[in-house]
Amino acid sequence: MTTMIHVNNLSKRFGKKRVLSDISSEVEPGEIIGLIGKNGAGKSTLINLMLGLTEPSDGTIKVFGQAPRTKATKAKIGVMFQDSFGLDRVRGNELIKLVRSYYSHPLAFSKIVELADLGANLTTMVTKMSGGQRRKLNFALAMAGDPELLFLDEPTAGMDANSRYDFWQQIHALSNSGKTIIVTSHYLEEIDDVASRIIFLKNQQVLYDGALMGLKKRFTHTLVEFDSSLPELKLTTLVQSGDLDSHNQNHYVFVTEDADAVVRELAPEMANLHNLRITQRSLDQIFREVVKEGD
Amino acid sequence: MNAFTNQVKTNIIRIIVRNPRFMAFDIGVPALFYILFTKVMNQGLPASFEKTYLVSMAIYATLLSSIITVANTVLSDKEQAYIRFIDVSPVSRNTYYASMGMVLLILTMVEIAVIELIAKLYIGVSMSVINWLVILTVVTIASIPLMIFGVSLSFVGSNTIVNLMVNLIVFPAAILSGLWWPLSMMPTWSQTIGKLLPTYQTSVIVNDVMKQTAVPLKMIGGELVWLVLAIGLLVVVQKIQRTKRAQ
Repeated sequence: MTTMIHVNNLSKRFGKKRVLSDISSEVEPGEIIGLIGKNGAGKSTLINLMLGLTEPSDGTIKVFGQAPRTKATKAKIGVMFQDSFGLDRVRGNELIKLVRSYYSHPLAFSKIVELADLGANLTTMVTKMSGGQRRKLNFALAMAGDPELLFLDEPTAGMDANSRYDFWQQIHALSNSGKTIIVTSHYLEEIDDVASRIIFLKNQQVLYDGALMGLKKRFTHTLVEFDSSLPELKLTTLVQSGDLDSHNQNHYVFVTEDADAVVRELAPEMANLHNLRITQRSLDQIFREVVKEGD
Repeated sequence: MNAFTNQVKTNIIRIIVRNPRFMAFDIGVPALFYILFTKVMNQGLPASFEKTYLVSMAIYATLLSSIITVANTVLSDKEQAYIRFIDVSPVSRNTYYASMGMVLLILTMVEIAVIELIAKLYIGVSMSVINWLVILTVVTIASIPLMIFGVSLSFVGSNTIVNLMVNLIVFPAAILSGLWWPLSMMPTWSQTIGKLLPTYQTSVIVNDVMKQTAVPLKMIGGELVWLVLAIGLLVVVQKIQRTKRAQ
């Protein structure tokens, strides 16, 4: 199978400000890549470079083996930008018809309407739609050309909880049908559920590029959480196999590599502990920890 | 072709059919001026004034739509991130601009036809079919450089700056080129500037062709220079945009 995207020693500067530095990576067909990093880490810039909307300062990018902005490349990609696009005085269904006509092998109109899931609001003027409705419409429009490669930049921003759930169900279905997807999101637990690979950007570089499990293994700590009115000093003296991660009001979180040992150490005070929980770190927690490191 | 046809269809709906502001402004203002100056404040004016002022108001209508409507539509598409979507889709910006140009030419012809109808049916202007058609076609063709300027203007900055620039260009251009009142009533310095403007050159071309006098080659040459300048400016503006994006 051909590599979808080939990024080689890519750097990007805006004036004197370096945004990306010496990035190299490849994207294979069928991968669902979660592109993460804090605000300003260069996620959107990397996507814009892959789309050919901005030029690299150094290095090269090939999409489907070609420069990003060729007509042939653009016919095979779909993009949902961070900020939704629209058109004045045009209804949702009219915009779908227009965008379909841009592609030689578009999805059926009814399929796009189904993806947009706007019900009666489909005939609302696009500029009068709510933020969430416009996100859904933009997703459907990104799919209009039946793309092989889909870029989703903060796709669920502005959607309500139900819409977000439905959206990720659609992404699961797309991943099962072999689409290649590059997605950024602030809702990291959502990426956690869907991504087969994580590219973590920090300090203009790729901090981690690999399977999600690998990232989790690198930060294998387990969390022991509970509520207690005992003083912090007493608990930190008691727990020797873990470190106090946070203490808010009566809620304590200890981080450890050996949860069993921490529970044994807490056993004498078990009567004073409530809601004891042992959890693995979510991507969200790993993200916050990694982002904090070295800042 | 399918993309182009659909883009034209959508543009007709959004720029003409669902845009009452256009009807009120691009057609209403010149029509009102025309009626006002030919029907109400017409004391002491020669009979030929109804015809020359018809030409002036037809040009004024196209000036309004070519600069104001074009600049605002392209600006709105840019602000709605629609042009960026075009950039990542298989259609080119040229298809988008060409469809816009096509719709604006239709729009221009509609404007001129409405003002001609007012002249014929309400004011009672009488002239040969050829001359009605001369106004319709020559003024429409001459609006092309104005439209290209309109596109360039949409890239100069934010909504406020674009609208300021548009107003600073359209109304002085209308006055200086003698569209509102005859150029001979203006001071010499302003006549010199006015004669260089494309809107003045269009009015001379149309009036001369209607009178069947010698073909005003100098004016046609002037219009061609404006066309080249408009295209040149658009190329430069797009290049600046690309450089900005690349940085």
